[in-house]
Amino acid sequence: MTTTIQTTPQKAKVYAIFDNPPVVFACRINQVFSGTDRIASFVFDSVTTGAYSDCLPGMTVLFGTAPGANDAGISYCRKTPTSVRFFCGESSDVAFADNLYVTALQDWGVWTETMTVTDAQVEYMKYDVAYTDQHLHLLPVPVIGPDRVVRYNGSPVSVSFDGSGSWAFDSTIASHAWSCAGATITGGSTATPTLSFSATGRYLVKYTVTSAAGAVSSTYRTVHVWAPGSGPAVYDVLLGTMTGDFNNGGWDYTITVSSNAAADIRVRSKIILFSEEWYGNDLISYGPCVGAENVVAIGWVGNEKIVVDVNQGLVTFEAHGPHYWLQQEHNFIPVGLVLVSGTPASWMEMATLNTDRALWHYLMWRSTLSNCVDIHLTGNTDSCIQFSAQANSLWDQLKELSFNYILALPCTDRYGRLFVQIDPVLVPVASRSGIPVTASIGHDDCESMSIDRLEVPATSQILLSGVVSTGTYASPSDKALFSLAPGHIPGHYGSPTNVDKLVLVSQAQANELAGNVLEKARLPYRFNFSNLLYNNRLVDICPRQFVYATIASPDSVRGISYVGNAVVKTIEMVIDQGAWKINWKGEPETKANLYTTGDTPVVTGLDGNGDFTTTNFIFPKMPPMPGFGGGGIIPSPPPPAPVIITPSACDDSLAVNTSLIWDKTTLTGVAGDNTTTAWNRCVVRNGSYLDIAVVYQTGVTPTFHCYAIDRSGNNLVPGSISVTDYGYFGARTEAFLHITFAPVSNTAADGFEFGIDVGTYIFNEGIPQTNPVTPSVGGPDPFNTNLTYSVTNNDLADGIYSFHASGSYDCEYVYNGAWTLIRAEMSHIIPTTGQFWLHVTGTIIDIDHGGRGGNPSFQIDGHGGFPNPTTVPLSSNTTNEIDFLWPCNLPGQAAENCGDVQFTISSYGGHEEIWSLEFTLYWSDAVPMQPNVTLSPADLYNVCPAT
Amino acid sequence: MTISDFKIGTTLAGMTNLEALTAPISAPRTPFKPWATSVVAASGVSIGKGFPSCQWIFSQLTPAQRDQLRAFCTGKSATVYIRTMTNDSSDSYANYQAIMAWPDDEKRDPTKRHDRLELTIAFTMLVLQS
Repeated sequence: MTTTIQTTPQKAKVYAIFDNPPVVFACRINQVFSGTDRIASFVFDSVTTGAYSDCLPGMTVLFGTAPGANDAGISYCRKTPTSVRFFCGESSDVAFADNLYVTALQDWGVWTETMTVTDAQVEYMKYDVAYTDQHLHLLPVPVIGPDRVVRYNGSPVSVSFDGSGSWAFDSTIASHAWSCAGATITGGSTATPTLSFSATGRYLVKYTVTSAAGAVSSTYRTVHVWAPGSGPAVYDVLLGTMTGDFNNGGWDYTITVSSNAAADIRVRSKIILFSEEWYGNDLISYGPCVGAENVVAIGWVGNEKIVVDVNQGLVTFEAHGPHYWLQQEHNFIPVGLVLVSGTPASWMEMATLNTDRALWHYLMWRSTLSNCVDIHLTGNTDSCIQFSAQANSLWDQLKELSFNYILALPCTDRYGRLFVQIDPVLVPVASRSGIPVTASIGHDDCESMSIDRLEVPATSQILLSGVVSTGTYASPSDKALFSLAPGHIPGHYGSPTNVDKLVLVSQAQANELAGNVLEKARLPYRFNFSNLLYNNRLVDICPRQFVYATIASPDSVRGISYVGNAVVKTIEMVIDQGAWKINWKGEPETKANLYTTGDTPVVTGLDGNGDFTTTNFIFPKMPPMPGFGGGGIIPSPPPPAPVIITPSACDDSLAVNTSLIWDKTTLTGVAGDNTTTAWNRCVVRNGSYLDIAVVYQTGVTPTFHCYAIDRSGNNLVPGSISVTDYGYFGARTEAFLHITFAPVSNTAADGFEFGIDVGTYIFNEGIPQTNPVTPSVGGPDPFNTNLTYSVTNNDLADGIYSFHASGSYDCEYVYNGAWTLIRAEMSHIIPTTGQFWLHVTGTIIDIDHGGRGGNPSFQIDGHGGFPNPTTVPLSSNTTNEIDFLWPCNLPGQAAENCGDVQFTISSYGGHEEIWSLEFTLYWSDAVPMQPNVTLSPADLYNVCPAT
Repeated sequence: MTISDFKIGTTLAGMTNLEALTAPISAPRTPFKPWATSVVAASGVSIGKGFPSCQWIFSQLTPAQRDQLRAFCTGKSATVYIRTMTNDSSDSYANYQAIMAWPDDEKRDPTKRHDRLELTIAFTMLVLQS
């Protein structure tokens, strides 16, 4: 009978190996330091172990006041030392001192590697590696799987490795080389060697891969050959729940061991969990990595999660995969790459640039990750002219570089292998056939199945935009794309979501992607498969994969059925009574359904009956431009073509304080935060400054934020922003911003893109008010309001602006004829001419009309060009459906007198409940709608125009 | 000539019949669990999970007999090899590697001789040996 993953009974034992790497080199510091900041090397003497040449790049190095101690700090070997000088990772966090003990271990971990930039703007990677041709002949990436654990039974045991997954950009793998002291290697120059071990012990495997272009990379793994009482210490452990969470990026778990093991374990010690498993009576393991099926997980002891329980003599460690350590390591900026034509001449340039290449640069030159784990990237080849990431942790920068451009995310599996991949449900449906289905799950396969229906934030619309980039950074040739899902008209509920600045391929791809994003955002179902009957470690949270789920309608009282793929997002594993107890949580596969190109839509009238001609409606055809923070542009005029910053064209002979007219005076709304943004580009020199006037509605307090991005895509913080409020003129307030560029230290001109955000309120929350008529009996009305507002679409580029109000208020006692109102102002919208409409729909419930002074009513009113107040009578003690359209002509009105709308609910005593009132403004192409915040034409001093 | 086939040892080849020990021990009562727990699938199908386990229950042991067993497990638990009766048929024995757990308390029955012990030894994580 063949043993399969469903052969029962199934049993499992789990053990742990705390990797205890040997010391390869030990010495003492022989140098007096004037300070401990930015130390990258030191002179050594008093060598007690090994030779300096035994130190390899990336090795863990301990600094302590005693041999082998790390009380002064931990770092890594940056490059092989000379006979007198040791090169460590640049650090300000080690208490460097003369005579400190230095211990280099045969161990590789996850570290950031610093870059340096000289005053002459020359960059160096890994502290002092100058650019030569590293972006022409790109380092190959070694891929060989995880560490291995094998049991020794008295006769030689074999371990196979497979390096055939190694890869290189613009080249092929030309050669493989394997070395392992103590092992007999067969096929040591092939991709698939076999290593034979004749004794227990810890063995180091070095794999070196060379590309056809001559670039060389190495990576290291350990093989632990063990037997009871012999070889590497194998611990019986209490395994807490192992949790793999895609949203968290990887696996975390706790293990408890007896206290006598604690002394061997330090922070960042590698833990290899492995198992002995039986399917029926056969000792066998099934896992996703050939040759490492018995390896359960690889992690590193957490920094501050060690709890010593003296009474029970146990120690509990929290261990984490590489995702956690990447989150702990703060990386250095600038992180940016630009696309150039011809041969790259610096660390910031590439001749072919896409997400994977940006990630490659980041992982291979800014971190030591490839020394110890496999790296798998997206495979996406869509070109972009520049990539950048903000100062953040290594992990967050990985996410930014992958998600912001192509919606991919990083994740590490139980072995610690890094995968950066696009979510399966965001992959075009036609391309999903390549995603493996690793298991099937149904009611015969788990103890219980449940379906959670979540109240997810409703997404009314996806506004997806980006570019197809075909040029270079110096000479861009981008085609902008804009897609909408479900279509031009948002869904009735929820808020729109902008997904912008993407790197796209085609309009069709953008459209389907918008549809996929919408379906994923709206998905309310989550699957829970609890306590799998069969030990299945083939399924992981990454690489991307499906499980095939079968839920029959009779299995749920709601009659829900589902037969199809699901994506496992969370896995919990624990050893329970000698067997794995595994839970999966996931989501059903979704597919794009409703989407369209974001061009001029078909409009049949606001009420769907063709009441209005459609020719005077126009929607934007251009999406926001990527990479520069610009949002969508208000319908008219269309956005300007990208301006190329070429500092060399700047005429340095221009007189100081030559002014440049700021030509960007329109702003656009940003979903969710009611801010507006405008960008301009210029060339600035040291001492440049900008004066700009901002006009906004009196009574609000705008926030100002200024950005500057240099031509390499690096964010620079302007030197200062000072705001002088010149007071208000009627309904308008004018502020004056003076912005300097102090960080620009070089006197030569440099190119910058410069933008300003002005945060203000487009919609002003209503304020309950009472009729100024003072009640003669009973005093002022003790009204009670609970009215909330949310802006559901404030992207003015749509030609639609809408907000949602809901809540209730009470008017318990009002004297004869007095009334209560709730006032809301739709401010800061400037329809300077033409026509627009306000469409109000919703429900107002009169809960308990007081019966005094007539029925309640709903009244809408506005400033300036609005017609006379329109009143809708409401029926008492019942539900009132509101649906009316309010046209507004605004000929010749001054801007500050237009656009404010207020609504009033009059209740002559009683309890009114507003339920889902939706206000939507539509405007025609004759109305260049703008937020009521404008930037004046500005003078840019000491600048010269971008060309 | 032994009557039963219960054996114990520190190696598979070195197991000794309980009746052949220096102080012979007669066959214990032996409840045997073929799996540690069972899981009922959502469809109603049930399977066993986890390792087999068994107990050797001795109603009265002399100190010499007890010490012989204790020698195989000087601490709280030890890895041993046993040959014990399974549930498969009336006289079916099998060899296992097992974790032998010494009981937390040893009972002395006042109705019996004071130097006689009631002892229940649990063997868990049974792994069938060929």
